[in-house]
Amino acid sequence: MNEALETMPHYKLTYFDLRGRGEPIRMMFAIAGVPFEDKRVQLQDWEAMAKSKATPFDALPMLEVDGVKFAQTLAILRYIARETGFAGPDNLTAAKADALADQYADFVMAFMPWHIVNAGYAPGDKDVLYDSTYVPTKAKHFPYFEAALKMSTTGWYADTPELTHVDVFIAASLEWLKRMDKNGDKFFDGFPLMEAHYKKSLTNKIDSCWNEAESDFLRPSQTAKVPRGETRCSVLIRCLVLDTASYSLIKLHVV
Amino acid sequence: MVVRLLPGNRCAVLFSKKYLQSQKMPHYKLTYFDLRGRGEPVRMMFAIAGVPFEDKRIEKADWPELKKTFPFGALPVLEVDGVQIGQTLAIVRYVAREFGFAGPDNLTAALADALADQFVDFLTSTEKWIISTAGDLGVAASGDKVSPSHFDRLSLLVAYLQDEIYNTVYAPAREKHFAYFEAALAKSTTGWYAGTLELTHADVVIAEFLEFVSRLDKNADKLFEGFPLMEAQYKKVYVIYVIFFSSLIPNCRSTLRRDPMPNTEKRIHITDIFENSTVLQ
Repeated sequence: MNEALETMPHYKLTYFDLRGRGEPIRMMFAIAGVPFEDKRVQLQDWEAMAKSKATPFDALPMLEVDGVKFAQTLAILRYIARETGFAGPDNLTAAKADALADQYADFVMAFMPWHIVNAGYAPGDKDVLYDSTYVPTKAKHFPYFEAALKMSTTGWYADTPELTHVDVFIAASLEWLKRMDKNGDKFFDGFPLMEAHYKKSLTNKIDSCWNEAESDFLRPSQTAKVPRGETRCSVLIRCLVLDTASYSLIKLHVV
Repeated sequence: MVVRLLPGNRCAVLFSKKYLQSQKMPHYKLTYFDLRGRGEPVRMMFAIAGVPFEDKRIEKADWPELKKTFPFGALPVLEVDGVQIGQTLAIVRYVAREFGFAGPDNLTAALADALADQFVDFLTSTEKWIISTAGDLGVAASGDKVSPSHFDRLSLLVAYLQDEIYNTVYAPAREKHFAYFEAALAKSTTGWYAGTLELTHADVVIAEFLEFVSRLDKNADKLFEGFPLMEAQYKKVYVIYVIFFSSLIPNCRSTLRRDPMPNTEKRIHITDIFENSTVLQ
């Protein structure tokens, strides 16, 4: 066990102190039971960091593996999934998973004009953009994911017996989107398989814990390092409902 | 198949010729329009790997009924023994990994993935310019209409603003993003993006998309000005790999087909955009 820990590279994830694009990666590490350094950059420190060329593409999230730096959310997620065996049993399944993750990323790009106004990053009328940009984009893309789940016999997107990186990515991203959607209570209307998958990936407890934080976009993530010997399901449930007190307790128990 | 245990707790798997011949290669079918576009990196990847594939090209007119038969309503789509894979980069990554062009380990593959994704980000950031220059080609792959909110229709009515879009959208994006790729090549000791001995899918994707950009850029002769390493890599891909490898493979002419893009022979006129485009109605 100690040998394994010694030969494992040192992983350092750098992202803002948000869930956003960093959360799927943190979740992936947690599910795989792999310790990592979770570096969080405050928004006001970002400009200085970008100027100092500390990041290869002037963007976050960024992963550093024994000093080798690279960016791009999905590239990082795919890497961790493959390293830890969560990318599916063969190349073709991994490609199916990759395709769905890329498609979700396309979906995010398509509603970005609404998001930047809705989150206050740019001026504009968020209600007009909600109806003109977000609603049609969601209506166009959700059927693709629903159809993928319909084709799957296991309820996971890439038809794998266990979850893969695309399940983590889509569930975490939907959680974030559902909170920002003003009609979040009707978020999965018409897409029952997506709702079942979402619940399977993130437990129901999510809604009850985070209701008061619905309007707080900048609520920091609470994923934590995972003690060895945990099953993946219990890890996922536990790490998503931890508060900071439990986080420090878990830290002491990491082997 | 024989498994031998070697000293140092390693093992070797030996395959007999009979076993290898009995393993059949899956049937690969790539569907895309009769263009280079997003299909060409995939075709190049198969050509470089020396793998035969069915290169299905569909007409634009047939697209509306065929659209719903594909998982994401878009092309390219690769079918592997009937299993459909959408999304250009997912397909390219799959082909690269299957045939050993994704680098020697996961980390190198991740570096290559990151660079390919970053180039696509560059193209996304210049979308406004691509659409204003190429008309509907920028969205030809998905066959979708671009909503008018995508860019200001009114400003396009004034012809000189096409140059404005070039200067405000394309030129700064090019300066910003090309610097990243130049830096990646400066770090690489081999002249390939991911620092590998042989090319990877990142090299193929970036070279092909650069070729696409070069056909739209009115200053294409100065495309690589200030970025000599990028120019060297681009030439390496086309001169060495595409021509050399594809000449060894039958039916590989498709890789070198110079499909003329609409409106590259002449500067696009504003009326053309509205009359001939399927995008702005």
